[in-house]
Amino acid sequence: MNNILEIKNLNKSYSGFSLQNVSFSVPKGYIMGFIGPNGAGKTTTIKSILGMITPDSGDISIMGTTVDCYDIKNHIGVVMDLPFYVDDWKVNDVHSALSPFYSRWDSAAFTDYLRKFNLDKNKKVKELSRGMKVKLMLAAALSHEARLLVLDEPTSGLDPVARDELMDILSEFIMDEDRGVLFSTHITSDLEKIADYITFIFDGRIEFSGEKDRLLESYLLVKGDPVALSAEHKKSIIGFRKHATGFDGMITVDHAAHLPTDVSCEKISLDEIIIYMNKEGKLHE
Amino acid sequence: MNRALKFAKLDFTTIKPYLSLKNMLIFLFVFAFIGYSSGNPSTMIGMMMMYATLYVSYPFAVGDKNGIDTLYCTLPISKKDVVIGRYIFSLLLNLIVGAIAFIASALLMTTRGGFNGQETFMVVLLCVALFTTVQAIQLPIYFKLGYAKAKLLAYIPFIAFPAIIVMISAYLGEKNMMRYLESIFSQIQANIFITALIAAVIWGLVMGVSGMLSYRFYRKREI
Repeated sequence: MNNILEIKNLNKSYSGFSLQNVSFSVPKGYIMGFIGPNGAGKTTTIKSILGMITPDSGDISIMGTTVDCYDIKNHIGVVMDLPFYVDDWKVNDVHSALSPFYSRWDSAAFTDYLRKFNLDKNKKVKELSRGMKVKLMLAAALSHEARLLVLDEPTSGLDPVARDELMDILSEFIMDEDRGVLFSTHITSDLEKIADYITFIFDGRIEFSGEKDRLLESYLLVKGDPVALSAEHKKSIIGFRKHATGFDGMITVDHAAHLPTDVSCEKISLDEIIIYMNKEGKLHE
Repeated sequence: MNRALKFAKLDFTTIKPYLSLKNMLIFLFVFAFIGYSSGNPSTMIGMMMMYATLYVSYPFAVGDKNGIDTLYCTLPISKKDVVIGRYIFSLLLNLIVGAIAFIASALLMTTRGGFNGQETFMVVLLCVALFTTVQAIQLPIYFKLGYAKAKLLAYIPFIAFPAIIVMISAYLGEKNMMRYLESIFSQIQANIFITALIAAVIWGLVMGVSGMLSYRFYRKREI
């Protein structure tokens, strides 16, 4: 089995939003970036993985075991955007609260991570900075020999230095090829650095899931004078936007070949892919 | 260690920051003062059990504030373990407070020269049974709605029980009510073992139904 996480045809409906046949997998030994605009379904998917919500249908398996089997959580480390520890706990209380539950909890490793992350055992959770809180969750997630790390917006609100440290920790974690990371974030520059795969979710549907480079090579940023474009050309541009100095948008590599030569095509970033997809979605609303 | 027991331990860790020795000593002093001045330990025991009932709701209150249900979802435990663990925590808390209340009563009444061990034990037992029954009504409400939405509803038993007693006494009339009570007490005294057995069975049933309801509500609850 080459995938550490597999999601097949996941459906979950709320009034006004639904996840529709969400399917993707995280291969062992890699970091999967999970991207999409706000409200696209990233957190709903992650909540389904962790059993926080009950999907209407679909299958989720971790290391070949269904998530209904709570034992599998021995192998999952979770870092969320906000800490889920009691504010008035001391850092050391996190150890006494969590350690009895995990069959492979390593107290020495936890102490080592606290030292490495400069976390004072006697400080209260509420006294920690946002970056330190993320590091505390990470220390706990890495101290029970987790093989899958699930990160939901851990870097939002972190300064560039703290984000860079986190990227280093993830790169180190993934050196063991039996492990995998699902990393949901808005800060796509982090993913451009370390992710091998990208799953792009939009409006509850998976738009793309595969190698990051393939996604980045599939689209181009297109700019120029809109006069040069025919109606057919405009239709092929995703998130077409006209402004005072011309137009911009995103286009698939296949369609770009048919554009007039006086229109410029450039490499696109993950951020821009999300922005143009979002714009296109709004155009069709 | 069993998963539910581990969870009960987690509940104690959850409320630990709010169980300061200073606060507990202040409360104990106030309760002891009331008990000593009235010359009757029952009031003190009742107040201490009321205090325990407040603490039973603390894991829900602290959990609501800190999003601790998310933590439970990351741990290798089932929702059933969470519910059973919370009931174990509640019962242990009541037993600990009951034991403290008994010791405090013994110390207090011995200084006044009127300590009756058997009677005090019965009062503690009755209070534990009564307050755990009230908690058995509260817990499913907390599991269904969470602390913030449930806190007002959870106090209904404290209003409903006295209200029912007042209504029954109004219906029967004061003299009739006293006659009924006297007859019930004499029946209890004549059949103490059977009464204790029936009370234990009823208490067990209440706890069982409460636990099943809590599990049903919590299983469906999305976090």
